[in-house]
Amino acid sequence: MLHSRFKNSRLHFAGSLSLAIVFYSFCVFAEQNQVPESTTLESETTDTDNTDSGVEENLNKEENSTTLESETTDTDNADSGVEENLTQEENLIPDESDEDEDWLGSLEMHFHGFASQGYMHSTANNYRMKTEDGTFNMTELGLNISTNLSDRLRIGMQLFAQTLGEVGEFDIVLDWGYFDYLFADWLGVRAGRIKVAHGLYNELARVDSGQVSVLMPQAIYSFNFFGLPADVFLTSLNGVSVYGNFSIGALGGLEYQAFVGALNTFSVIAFQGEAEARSKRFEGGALTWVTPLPGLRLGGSMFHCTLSLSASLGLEEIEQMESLGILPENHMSELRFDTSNLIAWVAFIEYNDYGFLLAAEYSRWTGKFTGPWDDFTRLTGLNDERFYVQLAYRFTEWFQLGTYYSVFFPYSEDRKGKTERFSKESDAWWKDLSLTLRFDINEYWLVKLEGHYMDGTAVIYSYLNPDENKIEEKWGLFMVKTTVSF
Amino acid sequence: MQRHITISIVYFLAAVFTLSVLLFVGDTKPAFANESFKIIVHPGVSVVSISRAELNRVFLKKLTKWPGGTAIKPVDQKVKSPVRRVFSKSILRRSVTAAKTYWRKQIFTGRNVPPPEVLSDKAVIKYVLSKPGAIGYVSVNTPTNGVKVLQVK
Repeated sequence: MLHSRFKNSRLHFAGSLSLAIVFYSFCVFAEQNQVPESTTLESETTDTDNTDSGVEENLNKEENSTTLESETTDTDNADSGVEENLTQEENLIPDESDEDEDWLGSLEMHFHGFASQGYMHSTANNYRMKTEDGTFNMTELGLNISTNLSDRLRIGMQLFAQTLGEVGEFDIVLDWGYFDYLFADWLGVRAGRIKVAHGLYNELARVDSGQVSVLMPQAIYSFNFFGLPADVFLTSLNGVSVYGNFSIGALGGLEYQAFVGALNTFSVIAFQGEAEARSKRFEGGALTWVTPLPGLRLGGSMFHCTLSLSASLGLEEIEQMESLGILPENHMSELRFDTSNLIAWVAFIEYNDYGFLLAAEYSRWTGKFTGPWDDFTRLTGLNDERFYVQLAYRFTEWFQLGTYYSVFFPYSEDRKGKTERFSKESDAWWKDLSLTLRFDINEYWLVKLEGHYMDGTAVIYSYLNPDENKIEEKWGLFMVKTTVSF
Repeated sequence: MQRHITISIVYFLAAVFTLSVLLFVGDTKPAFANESFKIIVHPGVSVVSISRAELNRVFLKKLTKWPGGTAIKPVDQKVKSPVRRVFSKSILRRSVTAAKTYWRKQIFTGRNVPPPEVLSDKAVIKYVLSKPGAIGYVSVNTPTNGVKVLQVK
């Protein structure tokens, strides 16, 4: 019924940037008041001085080795001696005073980017865009830059642009941008625009090269609240997160992440009208147990938020809602409602070892809607159920095969579409069986071929499929996508 | 429509079967399968041995400090390096391609960047010697003058 176009919130971005600047200032202050690393280095070199007679003997034995010759060249053609090597090492490490003057020039900047182009064709039903006739309207571009200001402090940002049907339209957005301070492996802090940790792979929603399939398991990672794709509205938040990992001895390790902030305000385009959604608050976290069995991890994540949605309904939407008995008589075209206590949780398990991947996730979304019309909110309260199982195997360096079975029930108490909530029965479920062939041509370029067998119409939107008589319960979707990344 | 979908699925399965046969007929073993590697560190690093699990965490940048607080600076070799393929399978428990995929996830979600990649064993040794806290891997037969070799437990 609705589809989305994502736009930035200037106020939220300014707020998060201010917060990030304050946080950065604190980290710089903390960094400057630590014991300088060079002091630690001097004590190590002293130790090396006293104990390196073995090194000298080895160097003398290897006089004719190429390695030695290059090293002696590097050390001004002198006989390799430990003290001269140490001098060489010291010269490679800038003095603190030099560091202050040339600190900016010594920063190592990392540039990375990607470009993806896809083609999608469905045998029936337009899915997310006009796919029945085939479409190339599936392009993604990303560019990021980051640097380590010190061993503990990183800063980076990623710009992203996409077109996916009417989503994106190549508007350049800030996908993420934050300061990251690592106090210790078990405690780090990020502030700014942060990717949302939801389930195993939500943070990868825009990273085609990091996924097995073209479409991530759709039950968890695509369809969501009122038809708003999670890969649009659930990608990042403006706020703060803490994260870390630590060992628990023989039981393996734990990884955690907790975040608080606000989602970006975004526009939701109805097929005739327009809607805007704002999140008042968004918080959550994830906890993963990295088990002693290599490659096996399991855990869960959860988020809680409140959203307010205001929309201007188009004529077709009004007629549809009238036919469902959702809108009362004498309604107005303006619609405004809030979701309170929108909670989504995911339990997951993943085994990923020696090229074999087995992953499964189960999720529930619940929420209460409050609005001007009891009928509307009664029929569209949120209580869905979703899960998938995925298998993949990397046969060679360049070929990986993957498949998943994904299931979504928009209303967990009616999985067969028997209640008045659904205009037709098949709207009560969506089952997706996929098969993906991934070819890594080289370390920069990959191609994916993918097919889906779909059963159900829970995510078939009327604005893309206005003729209900043409909607088919069982349909296929084929995709080709290529990505270059560096 | 049902027939169309069925035919499409059959086509896909046939393609998969054909590809699988071709792949298994071909040589999928790394050329370096029977050779090994050794772990080298800057001579200033105080540890003398490291476990495979710790090595895994070091090269995935999940373990970032040596005892004493020095930053760990891992260095990788280029993708086509035979010793990297063996190291990746043995310690990271994944192919080089899968390791690159892991790093793309880290890069494009902003979590981290991969270790630098150098061209050869010689370049690894040069890097390790020049960076306190550095750790790398080289072929087992490569002379390792000046660097410390760690025992892998």
